[in-house]
Amino acid sequence: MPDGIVGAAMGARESEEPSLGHAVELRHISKRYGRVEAVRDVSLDIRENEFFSLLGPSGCGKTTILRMISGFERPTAGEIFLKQRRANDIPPYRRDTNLIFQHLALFPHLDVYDNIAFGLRLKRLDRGPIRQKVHRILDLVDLGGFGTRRVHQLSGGQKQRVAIARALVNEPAVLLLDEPLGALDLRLRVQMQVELKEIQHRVGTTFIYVTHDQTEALTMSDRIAVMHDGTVEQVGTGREVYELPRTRFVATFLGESNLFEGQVEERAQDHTTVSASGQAFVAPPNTAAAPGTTVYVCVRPERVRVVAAAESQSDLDACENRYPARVRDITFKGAFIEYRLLTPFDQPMMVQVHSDGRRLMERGESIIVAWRRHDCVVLTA
Amino acid sequence: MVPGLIGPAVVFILALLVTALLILLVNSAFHFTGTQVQPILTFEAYRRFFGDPFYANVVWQEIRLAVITTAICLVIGYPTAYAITKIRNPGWVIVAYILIFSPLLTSGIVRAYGWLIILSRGGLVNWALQSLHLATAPVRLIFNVTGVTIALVHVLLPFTVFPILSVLLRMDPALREAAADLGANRVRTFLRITWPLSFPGLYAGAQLTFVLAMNAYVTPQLLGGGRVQVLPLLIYENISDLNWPLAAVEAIALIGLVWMIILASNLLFRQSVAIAEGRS
Amino acid sequence: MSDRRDALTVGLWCFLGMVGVYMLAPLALVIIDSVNPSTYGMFPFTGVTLHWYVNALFQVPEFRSGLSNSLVVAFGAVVLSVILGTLAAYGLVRYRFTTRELTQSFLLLPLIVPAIVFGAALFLLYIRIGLYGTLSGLILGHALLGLPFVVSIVAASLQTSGRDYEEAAMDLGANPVLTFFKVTIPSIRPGLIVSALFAFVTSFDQVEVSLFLTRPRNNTLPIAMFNYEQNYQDPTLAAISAVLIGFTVVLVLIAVSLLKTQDYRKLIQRR
Repeated sequence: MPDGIVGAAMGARESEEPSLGHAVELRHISKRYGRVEAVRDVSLDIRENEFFSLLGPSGCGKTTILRMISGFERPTAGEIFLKQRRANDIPPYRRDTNLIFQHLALFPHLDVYDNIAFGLRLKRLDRGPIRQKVHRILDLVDLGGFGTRRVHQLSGGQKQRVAIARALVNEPAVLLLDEPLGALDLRLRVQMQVELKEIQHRVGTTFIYVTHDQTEALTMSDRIAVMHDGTVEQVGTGREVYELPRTRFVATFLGESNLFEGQVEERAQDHTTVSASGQAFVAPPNTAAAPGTTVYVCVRPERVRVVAAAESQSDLDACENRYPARVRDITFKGAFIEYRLLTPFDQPMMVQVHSDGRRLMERGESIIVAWRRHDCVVLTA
Repeated sequence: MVPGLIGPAVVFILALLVTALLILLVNSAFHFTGTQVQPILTFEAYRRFFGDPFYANVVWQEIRLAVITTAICLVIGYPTAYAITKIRNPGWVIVAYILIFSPLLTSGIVRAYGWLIILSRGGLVNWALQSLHLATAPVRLIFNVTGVTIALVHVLLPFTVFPILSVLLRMDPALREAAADLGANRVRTFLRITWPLSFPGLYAGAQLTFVLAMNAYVTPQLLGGGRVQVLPLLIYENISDLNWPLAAVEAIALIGLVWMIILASNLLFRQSVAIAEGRS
Repeated sequence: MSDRRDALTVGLWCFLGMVGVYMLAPLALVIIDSVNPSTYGMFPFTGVTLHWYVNALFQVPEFRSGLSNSLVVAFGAVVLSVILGTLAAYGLVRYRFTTRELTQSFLLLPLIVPAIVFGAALFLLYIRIGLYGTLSGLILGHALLGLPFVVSIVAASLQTSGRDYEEAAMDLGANPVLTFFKVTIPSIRPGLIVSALFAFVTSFDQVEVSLFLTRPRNNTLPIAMFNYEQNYQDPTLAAISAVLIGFTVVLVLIAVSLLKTQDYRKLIQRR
C-alpha cells in the first residue's frame, strides 16, 4: 500500500492494519469556483469500516469534499479513489457511494417503502428480494411497519431514519452524511448520534460524516479531520486532535484553550521552555520548536489547577508551572465552574474546575494557578 | 447537454419569428404597384408614412388613446390592488382574484361583444339612463373613442393591477408598523411609506398597460366602428390590401414608437424607481 | 393599525366590488343576451330562449369547423410549447453558462413583439414557405406565443423545487434521463399544469395572429366569430361566446382539480 507520502500528510502515529484497504483516498484534491478556492490540496485516506468525520466551521470546504466523493462536484485538481479505483470520471449514479442530504431529500410523491426501494428497483432486483431488504432495513432503523406512511406524516427523527434506510439498503461501500442532524432538537440529536454509531457498527459500512459540531464529531468518530479554510489542519482520533492539537485553529475549534504566544528559550529532550508575557513556561518536548522561533503554548482550562493563595499548596507540587493570579469572574455551569482570572501574563486566563462541592472562589480573591508540563502543548502553527 | 436542451426552443424562435421579422423588415423597402409587391428597393413606403400627415395624426390619436387608457387603469387599478391587500378572509381574496383576472381567460372577441351589448343604443347603459330619466336620447357610446377606451380599460386592468399588487404584497408590514410606532397616522403612513415604496409596481404596471394599449387590435377594431384609427388596424388593412411595404413600415413604426417612449420614461423615472427600491 | 375595519377600508371594499362588477359585466351580459328572444336590443326582458344556442352549434357550420380547428391547433400548440419550453427551462435553471441571461431574454421575444406585427410577419413568411392557411402553420405560430409563458412558469417551478431530489435520485443510481422523468417532472407537476393551461388559453383565444394565418375555409373559432360579427349582430354570437366561456371555466376547473390531487401516480412498479 503506497503509504509513505500519505502517512506524512496525515501526521499522526498510526497502528496500521495492512489487511484493511482504504475505502476512500483523496490525493491533492483542489476545488475552485471561479476565483474562489473552496478546497486546497487536501489528501486523506479513509479506512474501511471506520466512522470518519470532516469537522470544521461553515465555509471550510467539508461539504465540497463530500460532494466530490459522491460525484456531484468534480475536483479541479487531484484524484479520488474509491476502493483503489480512480473515480474522478465516474458519475454519481454509478458510484458505490450513497449520500444522506442535509435536508434529506425524501421524495414527497412516494411513500416510505417506495423511497427506500428506489435504488433497489433501479438495480433491477426482483420484487421478492426487494421486499426482504426493505423490511429488514426498516427493522434495523426501528421503523418496522412504516412502509405505507407518506413522508409528510413522519416526524423529524423518523424522516432521518428513512433517509438512512434509503441509503443503506443499497449496501454502499461508503455512506456519506452531510450534517444530517442539524434540523433536530438537542435531545433528538444526541439520541440519533448514538443510534447512528450503533448502526455503523452493525452494518460495518464506512461512514464519512460532515459536521461543524465538535461534540458530535468527538462522540461518533473513529477519526476526525479538522478543516479550516479549504485545508485539513489535522487528522487523528478524537483524543489526539483534542489533547495534541497541531495548530491554533485546532486548539481553539475543539474545546476551549488558553493560548500564549512566546519564543522558545530552550529545547531539551524532556521539556521545552517558552518565554511568553514575561514568564517562562515549561512545556513538553517538541522537535519542531527550534530555539528563538515563535510558538504558542496551549493550556486547556480543565487541565489547570487552582488553589487559594491562603491555603495549602501541596497539591501543586508536581506542577512545573505555577503563577499567582486573581479571580475576576465566576460562572457556574452546572457540571463545572468557570473562573476568569487576571494573571501576570498580558492576557486573562480561563480555568475550569469540576463541581465537586468545594467552596467557590470569590471575586478578587488571590489564588495560585498551576499545571504540569504535560498539561499543555507547544504549537508551531 | 445544455445546447441540446435549450437549442430546440431557440432554433424554433430563430427559424420562425426572427426570420419572419427579417422578411418584414426587408419588405418595408419594396415597391408596391397598387396590386402587387415588387422586390425593388424604393423605400417609398417610408416616404409616404413620414410624409403624409394622415399617419402622424393616426400616431397621435393612438398615443393619446394609450395614455388616457393607462391613466384610467392606474387610477382604478391602484385602489383595487390596495383594497385586495386589505382583505383578511382568504376565501374573499380568491373571489377578488377571480373577479379581476378571470376575464383574461376569455377571448378579446367575447369581451368586445359584451361591451357592444352593454354600450349600444339599445343596450344596458342607455336603457338604464333612459329608465332613470337621466337622458332623453340614447348616448353614443360605441363606435367611437369612448367605447374603445371603456372596453380597453376593461381588457388591460388586470395587467395594471398585477404588478402593483405584487409589490404591495411583498412590502414588509413591519415598515408600516414602524411608521405608526414613530407617530404617523394612516394617511401619513400611506403618503410617506406605502406610496413611495409601491412606486416601482405602479411604474411597471403603467409601462405594461401602455405597451398593450398601443399594440391592441381587437378592441379598437370591434368597438371603433372605423372611426378609431390606430396603427394595428392600419397594419391589418394594408396587409389585406396587399400593400405589404406600407404595412411593414407601420409595424416598424409601432415597435419603434413604443420602444422610444419606454426608453424615455425609463430615463425620466430611473431615479424615482431606484430610490424606491433602495438603490440610490 | 392596519387591521382596523373602518370607513376607509369599507369604502375601499365597496370600490373593489364596483370594479368586480365592471370586470364581470361584459361576460355576464353576453350570457344573458344568449338567451334573449329578441334579435336586437335586450331591454326590457321578454323571456328566455335556447334558440340561439341551437343556431350557433348546429346551423352555423363555420362555428363547428372553427371549434374543431381551434381544439386541434390548441392541443398541438400546447404539446409543442410545453415540450420545448420545459426542456429550455431545465437547461436555463440547472446549468451555468455565460450566455444565460441573453438566452433568457431571447426566449421572451414572442412576448415582446406586438401580436399584430407577429401575425403580419409570420404571414409574409408563411406565404413563401406554403404554410399559409394550414393548421400546422397555426400550431407553430401559437406554440411560439405560448413558449415564453411555459419557460417562465416552469423555470420558476424548477427553482422552487430545487436540485436536492434530482441529486438524491442520481445518488441512488438513476441516470439523468431517468431522473428527469421519475423525479423532476413529478416535482414540477403544478408548474406544468399551469403553463399548459396558459398555453392552451393563449392559443384558443388567439385573434391577432390567427387573423393573418387562416384561410376562409380553415378558420379558428375566434376568427369565425370575428367574421360573423362583421355581418350579423344577433345573439347567435352571444350564444357561441357563452359556450366558449363555459368551455374555459370547465378547463380551469379541470386544471384546479389536477393541481389538488394528492394521488401522485406512481411512475415505478408497485410492489
